[in-house]
Amino acid sequence: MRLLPALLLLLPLAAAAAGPTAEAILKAYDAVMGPPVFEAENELTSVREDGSSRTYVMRFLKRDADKFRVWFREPASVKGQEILRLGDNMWVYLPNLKRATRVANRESFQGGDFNNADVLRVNYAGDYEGTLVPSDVPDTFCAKLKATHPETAYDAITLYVRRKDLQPVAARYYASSGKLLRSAEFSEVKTFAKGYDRPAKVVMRNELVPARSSTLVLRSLSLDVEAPPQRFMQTDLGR
Amino acid sequence: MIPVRRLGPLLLVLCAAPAWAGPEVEATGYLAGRFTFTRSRTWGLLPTDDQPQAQGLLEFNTQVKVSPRPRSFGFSDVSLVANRSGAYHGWRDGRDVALEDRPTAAALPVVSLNELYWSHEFAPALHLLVGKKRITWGSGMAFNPTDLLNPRRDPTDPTFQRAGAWVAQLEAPLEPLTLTLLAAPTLLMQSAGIPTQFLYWPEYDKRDTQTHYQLAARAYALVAETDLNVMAFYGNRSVDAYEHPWRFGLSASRYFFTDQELHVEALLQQGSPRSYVKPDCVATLGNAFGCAQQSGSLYELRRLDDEAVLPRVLVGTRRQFTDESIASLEYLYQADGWTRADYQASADALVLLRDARALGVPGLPSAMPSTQGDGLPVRFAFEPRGQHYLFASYQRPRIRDDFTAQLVLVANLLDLSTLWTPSLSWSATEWMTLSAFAFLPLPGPDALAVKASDGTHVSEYGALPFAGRGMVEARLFY
Repeated sequence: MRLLPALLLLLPLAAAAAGPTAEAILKAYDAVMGPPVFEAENELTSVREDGSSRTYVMRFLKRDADKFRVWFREPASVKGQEILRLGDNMWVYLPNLKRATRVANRESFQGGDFNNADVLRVNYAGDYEGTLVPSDVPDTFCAKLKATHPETAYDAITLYVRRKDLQPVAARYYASSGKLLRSAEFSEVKTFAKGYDRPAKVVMRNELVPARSSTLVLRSLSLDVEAPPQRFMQTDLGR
Repeated sequence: MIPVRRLGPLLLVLCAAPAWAGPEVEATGYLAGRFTFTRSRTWGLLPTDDQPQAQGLLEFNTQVKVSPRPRSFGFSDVSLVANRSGAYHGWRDGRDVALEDRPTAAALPVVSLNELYWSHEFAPALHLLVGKKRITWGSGMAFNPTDLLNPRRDPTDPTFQRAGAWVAQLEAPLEPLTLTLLAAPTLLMQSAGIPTQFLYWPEYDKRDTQTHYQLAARAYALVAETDLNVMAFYGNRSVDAYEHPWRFGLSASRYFFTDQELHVEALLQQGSPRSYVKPDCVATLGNAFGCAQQSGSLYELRRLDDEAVLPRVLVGTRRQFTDESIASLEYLYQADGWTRADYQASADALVLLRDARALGVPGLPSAMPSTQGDGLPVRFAFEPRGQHYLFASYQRPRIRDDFTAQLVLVANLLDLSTLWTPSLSWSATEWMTLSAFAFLPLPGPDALAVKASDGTHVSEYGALPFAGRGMVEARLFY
């Protein structure tokens, strides 16, 4: 099980040597940004139009392609909040409400510039079909992605990955009208587990309000974790 | 709520918690200061003598989670509330007069033990929970017809009430089905936050000879992207006077078209524990005295032994717009709710009681019995007595990033009387939120109100004992 992420990474690397397909790029993105099982601690900082910022610290637990759990640890005003994604369903648990409430996939993640789906729904191979196009960024491949169903957060994405290892470098996210909504930069590739590298920092810029941005920093990540299916049931929220 | 003078043993237990904790202790909470000004409707039908117009409240809340072992944890959520109240006003000799300040219930310091429980996971598919916890299975937001355990929510802010009930719960999350068994002996007496009497009234205070409890079973499943809960309740005189042992519940919630949520929640019961005014008792003052002497009340549990199935059903929808604002609409139907004739009898009772107070006549019960349990002091005590209610809310978050504006409307659809609650919150920092609220009850059209014996038009929210209420709050998180 521990070798699986490494093997998944090797597949697209092998593909890259011969020139990857768009499908291989999507699979590589999913393998890097959402390995089958992991637990991580993240720090999310949102910068607002007036230059002020808000920082959230949260623990992630992921299993399979579509099971995601988040526990908020900081700041004190949101401590105890939880999020669960199970397939196309998402719930939020509010400690004051003492119960889980359904939320839609398109909602922003903690009022920042990440969409809930950016953080909790890393399944590009399942959600988009891609076309490889010439890249305008040196040393990268570029894939244009089109949503395959209406539940996705964006209707189209342009994704750039490094030629040498298919690590994501940048992405642009579009509405159905073709309007650019957000853009992301992936940086600080680190080794978090044996054979598992990924960007530790993702900066998401709001292209509609250029002064706004959000930065997600991965503080730690472990692939060797227990993630029983019960952790991804609605009834486990708030336990 | 518990008088603060009895806090000693409880505080000892709570303060001791971290000491016996072991490896992992998490603590959080808040300090909230709140000032409320209420304009008492002294000229109305309900008495206002014990309702302070000015009230300051300081709440210190602490939530501690102790995890001595990986699969076990204890949790406590406690609020200490200090009150300062004054500016009492009443109606004397046909005019509004100031009354002396005095230690009414609204002025006493209290502690609210919201939750205190231990949870142990024998295996990922088998959990045991024992203690006081707020457990809600239904999908309703403003109101939960299937909640037969907890202190009722404030529909103008469902996050405000956090207090739960004493339970023992065994839960088996068997993917994709979760089965839950729950036993809730009714807490009848407590001292310093420590329960002293469950199930039966003690010999020295034998109010009845019955057993008070609620048992429940619940099956939850995610079916066709829908949250489904099926519930069965077996109990006797738990949160209400219900004596038929069985009640059944159902709830469902699902998203449609990405952003549109629909939910339904229903309670099926035979008969009803609801109180109704006895029309004969409010025909004359003499009749009222007769009823008060015979049974101590002008009200009766008329439908307690009714064979008819009397459902309570809530249907609602919620939509999130692209600017993240949320609109919510819920409709509540109660087959056992008051009809126009019941409201008429209630209006007659209120007029009669008001006249008796004006004459200084003692010996009559003062108000409708409340089914509200313990818990935090509520901003608005919601008692849905009628058959048809509408709850509507619109929330616009992130106005200039840190402001949230909200408007909540509660309407009785029989007389179209309404309660409007606009509010504005400012998350000034990550650890401080400042809020301002208003509560404005409005009577419906006279044509839909009932006409009391003195010619007064009476509607549910038009008869509330306040003409308006404003509140400001500062909440500091730690």
